[in-house]
Amino acid sequence: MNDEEMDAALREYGGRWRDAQDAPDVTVRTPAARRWPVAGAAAAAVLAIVGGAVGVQSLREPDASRPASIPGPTPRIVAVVPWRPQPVAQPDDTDPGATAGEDVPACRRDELTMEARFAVPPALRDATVAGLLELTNASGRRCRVQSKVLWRPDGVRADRGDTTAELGRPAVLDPGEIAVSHLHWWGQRCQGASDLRRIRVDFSGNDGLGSATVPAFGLVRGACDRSGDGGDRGGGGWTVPLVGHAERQLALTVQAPREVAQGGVLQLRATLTNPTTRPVTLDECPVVRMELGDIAQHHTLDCGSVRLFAPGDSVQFLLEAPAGRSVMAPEDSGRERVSVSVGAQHASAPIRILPPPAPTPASSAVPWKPDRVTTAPTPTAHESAPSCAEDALEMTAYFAPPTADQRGPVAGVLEIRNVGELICRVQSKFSFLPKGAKMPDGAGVTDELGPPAILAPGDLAVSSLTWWGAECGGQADLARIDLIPHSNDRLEQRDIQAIGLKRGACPRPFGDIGSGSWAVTVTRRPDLGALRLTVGLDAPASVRRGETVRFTVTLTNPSNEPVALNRAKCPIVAFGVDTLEKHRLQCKDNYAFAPGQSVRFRFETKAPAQPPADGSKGPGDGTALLQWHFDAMPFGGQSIPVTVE
Amino acid sequence: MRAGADGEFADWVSPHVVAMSRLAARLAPDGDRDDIVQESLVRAWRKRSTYDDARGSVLTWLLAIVADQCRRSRVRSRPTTSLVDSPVTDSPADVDLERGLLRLSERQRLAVSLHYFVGLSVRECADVMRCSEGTVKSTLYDARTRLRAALEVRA
Repeated sequence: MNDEEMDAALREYGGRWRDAQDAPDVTVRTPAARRWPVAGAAAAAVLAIVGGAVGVQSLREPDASRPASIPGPTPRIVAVVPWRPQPVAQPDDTDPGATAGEDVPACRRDELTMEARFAVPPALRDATVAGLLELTNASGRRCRVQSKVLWRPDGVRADRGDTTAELGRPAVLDPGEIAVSHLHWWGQRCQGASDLRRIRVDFSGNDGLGSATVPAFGLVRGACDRSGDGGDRGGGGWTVPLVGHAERQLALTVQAPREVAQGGVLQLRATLTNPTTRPVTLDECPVVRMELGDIAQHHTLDCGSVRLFAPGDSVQFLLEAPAGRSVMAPEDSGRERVSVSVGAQHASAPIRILPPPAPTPASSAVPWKPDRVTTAPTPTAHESAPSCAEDALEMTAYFAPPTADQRGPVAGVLEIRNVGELICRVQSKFSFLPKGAKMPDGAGVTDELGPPAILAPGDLAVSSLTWWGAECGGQADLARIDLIPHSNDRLEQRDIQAIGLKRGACPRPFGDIGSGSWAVTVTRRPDLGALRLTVGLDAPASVRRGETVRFTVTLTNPSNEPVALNRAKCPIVAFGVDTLEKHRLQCKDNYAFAPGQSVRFRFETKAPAQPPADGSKGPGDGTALLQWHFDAMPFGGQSIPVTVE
Repeated sequence: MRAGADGEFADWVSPHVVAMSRLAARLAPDGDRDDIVQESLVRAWRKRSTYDDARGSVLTWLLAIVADQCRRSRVRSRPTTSLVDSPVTDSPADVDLERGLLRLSERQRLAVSLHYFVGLSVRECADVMRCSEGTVKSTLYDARTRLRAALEVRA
């Protein structure tokens, strides 16, 4: 076979491959599956993105070859992690991405671009500051970096030199590849630092690199005006390129108590932060090594589903363990250093070791008393997180514009972000009404709390809002709504910005106030997916028993960020009159909802053939409820009454 | 930038999603295609202000994002074996060709995927790969040479 024949073979095979890829229903394994009628010419569109207009897609009947349920959106879990014995003899220190690279020429300074990003923990006391120095090979050739990295804020004198001869491992970089060096810093004073937006980096050992001034992001003055022992400037060696272990792209900071008693319980807070501008995904929960004095233990962080770190994301792990009665501190300082290592990263903090508390003398003898031994419940994230303080939360409501003939309620989403410094919990149902509108007597009171949402700093939770015709006449200001939480112990009524609410949406005869409840905890990650979508129903006002009910569902993205659904995460929806049937939305290809965009889906279901036994289903006599819900979002859906004749 | 307005972003990317899916299907580990495309769309949304039409078309800009996402995905994924039948690799010749494609370098696979499987011209491939047309041609030639050698060994 010559080159031309090879070219022709590839073209022919590529063409067949494309045809097969684009063929509809290529993964369907039930040939008998009946496709439901598709409305409009847009039905053939692979992607139902039609700008401001509304696209129409069809829905396939339930596919028996697919699982009956799909997992819901991944919740953000901040776990309380005990010191759990783990059969890890030694952390794997080999790195497939590392190569000796001795035959690769050293990178020149003009071939590299650099920037530093810092993750400064919210509470700086007794914490290290961690960061990454990213070095990109901007040249067109392969080259190597191998050096010790020392750094200090720009303007600070380097009055103590580091004379180490250790170079660390080399990093061999192809063009465009990135190497990172972890930067740690504790006890640094910033006096003399003219500008914390730049740091001075000294490279020791790499040919031709010398020193460089590097732009720095995230370094704040509060991080360095601390006294204490430890180093007076940060340092770090090159790790392998970023194509190595994902955990090496995360910055680790550790917060520890100032003191612990021998035999007491040591509680640490380890924070993994992604200070880069790219998302980082962990293949598996990392192994953590904790050292106090001469004692070291290896454990696996119980990261659960927290695997994807969006740029800027942080996850805090609470670690606790008995300090041991044998832990001793050096006599001269009385302080020992507790160290935490995750992968190649290390962070440590000084801790004072106190003698064990003296036992309290018993005033009288206590007889032995048989007692039932109970197992203490394992603390869960829900129980351990305190309620969010009022000022720690930022809320915004987005409403989808009602369609002209929409008979259902007004739909919206409420986004709540933890802007505080602590992990906290919100758990409350709530009501809302336009600012200035009068709360109807006895409305909205409920004892149900709904599911909690655990929010780490920066996390976002989303709740769907349903509004059955709030009273919005008179002085009501539709630019804001009053949100009235029920039962959350630290939240009070507050007025919040409402985007997209229009006066025409108000006069509806069904109810007085809106309601909602937190759906699930989500993060700043971009895959909020269906949670951000609102649902609008459009159905006939009445149907005959046993007849087919045709209705449309309008999914709208009322938020300011795009929402994407894809086949892997395509939601299962449940709909029907009285009895719900489960179906999967036809997400063979990707759906992308631009901010404000709507996509309409057409559905069919059967009206009940027989009248209900008690004659009382639905909000009124002879009325049933047509319901449509996302499977993954218990509160994400709509119901409207239809008269069944 | 045309996609600056919120409502225009979908119009802007929708003609290219099929091509994005094709490239992701060629380069990403099994089953990751849709995730790759979704991540790429979100990334494109965030980076839309950096798009410069003087440096290439929207299509090539989006495909460059997909290629980068695929590279990251491959790095963090573990080798898996697909149990799903492939609709086009029934014949032994196709199987051999696919195996040969797996033996190409990352750069060669990207060039072959863009040119033969996504259907881009050499000029467009060069925009995605951020290199000259001559480099694309030589990369494709090297890839074909390697493929021929692999197929001849099997024969």
